[in-house]
Amino acid sequence: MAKTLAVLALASLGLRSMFTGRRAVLTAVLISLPPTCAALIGATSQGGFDWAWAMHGVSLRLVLSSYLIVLTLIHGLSLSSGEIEDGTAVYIHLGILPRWATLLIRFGSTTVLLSILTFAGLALSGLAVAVTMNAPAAALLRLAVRYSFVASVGIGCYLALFLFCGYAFRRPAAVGISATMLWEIVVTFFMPMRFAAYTLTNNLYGLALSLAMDGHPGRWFRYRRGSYEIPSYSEASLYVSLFLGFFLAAAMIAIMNRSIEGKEAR
Amino acid sequence: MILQAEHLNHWYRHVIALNDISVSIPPGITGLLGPNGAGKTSFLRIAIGLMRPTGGTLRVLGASPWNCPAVQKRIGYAPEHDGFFEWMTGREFLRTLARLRGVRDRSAPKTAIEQVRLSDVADRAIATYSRGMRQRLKLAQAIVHRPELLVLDEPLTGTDPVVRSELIELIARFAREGTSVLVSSHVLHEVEALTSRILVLHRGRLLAHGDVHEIRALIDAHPHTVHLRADRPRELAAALVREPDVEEVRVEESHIAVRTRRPDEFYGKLPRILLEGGWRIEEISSPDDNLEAVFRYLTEK
Amino acid sequence: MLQEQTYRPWEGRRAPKWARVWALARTGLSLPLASRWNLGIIGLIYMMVLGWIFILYVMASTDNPPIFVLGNNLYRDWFFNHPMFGFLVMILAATVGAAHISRDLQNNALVTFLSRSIRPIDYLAAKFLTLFLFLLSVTLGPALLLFLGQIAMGQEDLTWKSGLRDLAAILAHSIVIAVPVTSLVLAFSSLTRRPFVAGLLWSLYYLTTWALPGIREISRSGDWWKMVRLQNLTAHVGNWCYEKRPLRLALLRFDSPSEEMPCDPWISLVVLAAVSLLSLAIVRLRLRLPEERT
Repeated sequence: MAKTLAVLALASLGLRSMFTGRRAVLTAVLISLPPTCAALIGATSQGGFDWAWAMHGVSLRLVLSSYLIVLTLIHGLSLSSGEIEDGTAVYIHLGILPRWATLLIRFGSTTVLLSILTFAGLALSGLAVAVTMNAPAAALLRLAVRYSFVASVGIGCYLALFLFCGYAFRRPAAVGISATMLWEIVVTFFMPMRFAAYTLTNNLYGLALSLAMDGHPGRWFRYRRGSYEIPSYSEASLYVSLFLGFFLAAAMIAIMNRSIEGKEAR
Repeated sequence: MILQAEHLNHWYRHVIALNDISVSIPPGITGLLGPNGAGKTSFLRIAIGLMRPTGGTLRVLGASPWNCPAVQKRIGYAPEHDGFFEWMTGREFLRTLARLRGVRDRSAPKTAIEQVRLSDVADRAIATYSRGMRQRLKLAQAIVHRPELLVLDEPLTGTDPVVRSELIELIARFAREGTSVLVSSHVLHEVEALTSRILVLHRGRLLAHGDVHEIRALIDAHPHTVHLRADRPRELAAALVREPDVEEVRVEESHIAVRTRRPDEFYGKLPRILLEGGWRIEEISSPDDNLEAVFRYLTEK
Repeated sequence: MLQEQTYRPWEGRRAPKWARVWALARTGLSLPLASRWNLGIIGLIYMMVLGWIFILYVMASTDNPPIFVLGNNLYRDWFFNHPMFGFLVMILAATVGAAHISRDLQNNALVTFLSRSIRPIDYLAAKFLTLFLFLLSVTLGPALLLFLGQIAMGQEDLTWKSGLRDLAAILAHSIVIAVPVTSLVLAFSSLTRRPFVAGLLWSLYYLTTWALPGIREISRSGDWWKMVRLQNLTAHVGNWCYEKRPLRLALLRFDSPSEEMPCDPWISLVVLAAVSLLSLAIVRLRLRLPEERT
C-alpha cells in the first residue's frame, strides 16, 4: 500500500511538472507547430497536391524527423540532469522506492503523456488539412492515430536515450544533441548508405511505411536507392525494441550509480 | 552507534573532499563543524545515500545507505540549498513527499506544518515564501515521515534571530523525543546551544570529534586562558606568576588574564593561593573553553 | 593624512571605440572554446567539413574528374549549397552562438557591459562580429583551401580574371551565408536567459523551415514555399555571385534548389537582408537595461 502510494505520487509529480514553467511553454510550441504548418500548407496548396501527402509530409518530415527529438530532449534532460541541477532530485530519490523503479515509473508516465500530446498535435494537423483542403477528416484522423503509434515508439526510444545521457554524463545536453543531430539527422538525410538503416529515424520511417502508408512510399523515400532500403516492419520493430531495451537498461544502471552532488560540488 | 565511517574517502575528479575519515557517532545531537569547503555537505550526502563514497565504508543505522531505500526511509534530510517545486504549495509539497516516503497517515503533513509553524502560509505557492519559510519547509519535509535520524545541512542559514531560536528549540525537541540529529552549521554558538558533541572537519580531514570541553582540554598546543576579577589584582598577579603551571599573567583593565597549559592543576591550586593571600575573588571565567575557540584553534593548526 | 575622496573623472587617453568592440569580441571568440564538449563538437564539425573538402579536392584533381565538380559548381552546389554543409553550419551556430547573449542575460552581465562606455550598438556589433568570424572560419576558410587546391591541381584552365572572380564569389557567398545565420542566432539568443533553450529554438526554426518546402516539393514551379528555407535563399543569392563559364562538357544537374526558385536572385537578397535586419532589431530591443524595461 505504501509503495502504491509512492508510485502514484511519483507519476503524478512527473505529470504535473510537465505542465509548469518553461517546459510547458516549449511543449505547447512543439505540439502546436505541426497543426500550424499543416494549416499553412493546406491553405496555400494548389491543385494536384494530395491531402494525404500533406499529412504524410507533416508527420514524417516534421514530427518523426525532428520534433520528437526536441520534445524528448527537453523532457528527458529535465527529468534527469535538470532535477539534479535544481536540487529537487534530493527529494525524489530519498523515497521508499529504489532508484531504478523511480526511473521506470517516470519514464512510463512521461512517455504516455507525451504520446497523448503528440496524438493531439497530429489530430489537429489532420483537422487542419481537412479544413483547408476539403479533405475527409475521418481518413486524416485514422492517419493521425497510426502516426501517433509510431511517434509513441519514437518517444519511448528517444526518452530512454536522453534519460541515459542525463544520468550518465556531466554534459548530457552536449552528448544527447551530438548523438541525435550528428547521427540521426545527418546520416538519415545526407548519407543514404547501408549503415543508415541503423538510425532510429529510418526505423521509425520503416514502421510508418507499413502502418500509415500501407507499404507505398510514394515520393517520400524516392532518394533511397542502391544498397540502402528503408527497413521493413519486422526489421524496424526489432531495431526499436533493442534500442529501447538497451537504453532503458543503461539508464537504470546509470541512475543506480549516479551520485547526486550538491551545488557546492560544482 | 547511528553512524560509523571507516577510512571514508571521496573525490570530485582531482579534488579530495573527504580524506580518510573514521568516526562513530552515537545517538543524540551531534554538530558537524568546518569552514567552507571542509567536506561537511559531502559527508552528509554520503551519510544519507545520495552519493557513493570513492573509498572506505559508511554505515548508517546498521547498513550502507547507498541504494538502500530501507535505510533512507528512516532518515530525514534537509539540504542546504533550496530546491523546491516552486509551483506547489507548501501543503502539496509535504503531501507529495509524505507519499513518496510511504507515509499512510494523512494527517502527517498537517502535523509537520504545525510543528514548524507554517500553517498560515501552507496554502501559498512556495515561490512566494521568504527565506525563513523555506528553511522551515525544508525541516518539515525532513520530519514528515518521523525518521529516526535527522540530517540537517546548515538549517539556520539566512534565518532571522526569531526564526533561528524557534528552529533550535524545534531541533532540541526532536532530540528529546528520541530522534538523533546530525546538524552542520557555521553558526557556532547556536550549535553550542544544541549540543556539546561535535565533529570538526577541515579540508576534508577529521580534526576532532567528541565533547567540546574534552577536545579543548586536549588541545595542549594552545594554553588555557583564565580570567580572574579580584581586589588588589597586581598583588594577585605577582603571586600567580611564581607558580610553575602558569605561563603568563597579564593585568588588564578589568581582570587578570592567566595562561596555563595545565588547567586542572591550576584550578586545583587556585583556592590555596587565594586563601593564603586573602584576596577576594569576584569572578572566574574561561573565555576559550567554548566551541568558537576550539574551532579556531583546530582550524588554525 | 587624509586623501581626497571626491570623484575625479578619468583624464587619461581613452581607447578608440573599435578597440572596445574588439575587446568584447575577443572574449566571445574564446568562450566557446573554454568548454571541452563545445570544443569537441566544433572540432568534429571542422573535421567533417575539411574531410569533405579533401574529397572534393581529390575528385576535382584527378585526370578524369567527374563532371559535376568542374567549374565553380564545385564551390557552389557541392560545398556551400550542399544540405549537409548547411546543417553543420546550423549545429555550429547553435553550439557557438546560442549562449552569446542569453548567458549575459542569465548572469545579469548586461548591466556590467552597458554601464561602461559601451553602447548597446557596440555590444551588438561585438557579438555579431564574434559569431560572424566563427562562421566565416567554417565557410570561407575551407572554401579558400579548396580554391587554392584547384589553382594548383585543378583541371580547369583559369585566367587570372576568372580566378579572381571565383575568389570574390567565394568571399561573397560566405558572407551571404554567415550574415543571416549570425543575425538569426543572435535574435534567438536574446529571447531567453537559457542558452540551451536558445539553441533549441534556433534548431527548431531551422529544421521546420528546412522540412516545409520538402513537404511541398511535388509542386515545383512557382512554389513560393522554397523561399521559407534559409539555405534556398542563400544558395540563390550565392550562385548569383559566380561567373557563368562555358565548360567543355555539359554539367550533370544536381538537384539544386537554386535552379528552381520562383523569383529573381535580388528578391532573395532582399528577403535575406530583411530577415537579418529584423533579427538584429529584435536583439536591439532586448538589449535594454532592467530599469528601462519597467
